[in-house]
Amino acid sequence: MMRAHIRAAAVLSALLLFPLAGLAADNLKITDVWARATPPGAPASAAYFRVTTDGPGDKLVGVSSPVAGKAMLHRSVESDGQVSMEHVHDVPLSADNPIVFRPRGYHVMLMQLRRPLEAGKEFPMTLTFEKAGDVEVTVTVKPLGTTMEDMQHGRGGHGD
Amino acid sequence: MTAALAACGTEGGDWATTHVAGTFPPLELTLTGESGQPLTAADLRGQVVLLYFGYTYCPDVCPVTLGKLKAALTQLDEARRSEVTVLFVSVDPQRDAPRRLRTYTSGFGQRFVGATSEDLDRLRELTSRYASSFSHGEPNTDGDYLVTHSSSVYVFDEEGRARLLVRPDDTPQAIARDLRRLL
Ligand SMILES: [Cu+2]
Repeated sequence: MMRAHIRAAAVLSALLLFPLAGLAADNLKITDVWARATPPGAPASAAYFRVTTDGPGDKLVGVSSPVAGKAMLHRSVESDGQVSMEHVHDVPLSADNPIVFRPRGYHVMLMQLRRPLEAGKEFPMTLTFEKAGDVEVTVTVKPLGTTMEDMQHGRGGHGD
Repeated sequence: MTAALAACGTEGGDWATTHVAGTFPPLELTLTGESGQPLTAADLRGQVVLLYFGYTYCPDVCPVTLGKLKAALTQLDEARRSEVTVLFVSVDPQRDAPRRLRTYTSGFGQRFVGATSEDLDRLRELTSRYASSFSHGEPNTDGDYLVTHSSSVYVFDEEGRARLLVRPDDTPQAIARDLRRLL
């Protein structure tokens, strides 16, 4: 009885949610996905990307990657000549409000790295959206010293 | 010396970064260098010193800043570059032992050296000397904690006088231009 109930619910959610999730993910465009090579011995690194949508609003709510024991949505905050980082619970997304992760701003904090991130290498990362669900992206590791300007002018050596 | 500067006519104006001569006291520090030996300002005499406070656990702002300084140094000719030292002072001595700092700074180049002090009060004294501070956040369940620190780089001339403040928005070009004037 209980089991049938659960199965019915599962079928229902499969019918209802998966097509919706698929649609929502189709609307997302995730570009400029990169991470900084770790300085020697550094225990953490940061990853960046842009997300745009031409669909309904959504929210980035989580992140994970097999290269890191722990990954979190973070933001660097500068004020009064001081800088700090804070954990961010979610980041809103809409057609006119893209998500921009960039140096000195929002970043994915990759902690407990299993091995150093080497320039030129790639690794997978999963972004979790409230509506679109999990979206896997490929992260390209850029050399130390890569700036946002390098990325925009293609000097960071786009992998694509 | 003063006459030469006056004749130059540009002291005080026209710097690409922020000119702070007379605002901050001269370079004075007693730390543990990345080799584990004591490091004082006297050891840095004759070098233009770019002093930056951070920690190796910092994945975003610290490597961005050090990467920018590296880019600036790359724009200098070798003779000038050899007269510049970037001093990365960790305000997180609990996690940043000298050996780790040596490994870390080597990733940015020969002109980069690390230092810290196990005495947090000494680090506090040093940062407050340059109108800055730092603080450690509450550790999470993994024991990780975040550190708040200065976002600026303090530039001292070869005699240890504070001359410039490099702010987060200053470009490598601007920094290199000012360093050429100082050297
Ligand atoms: Cu962070």
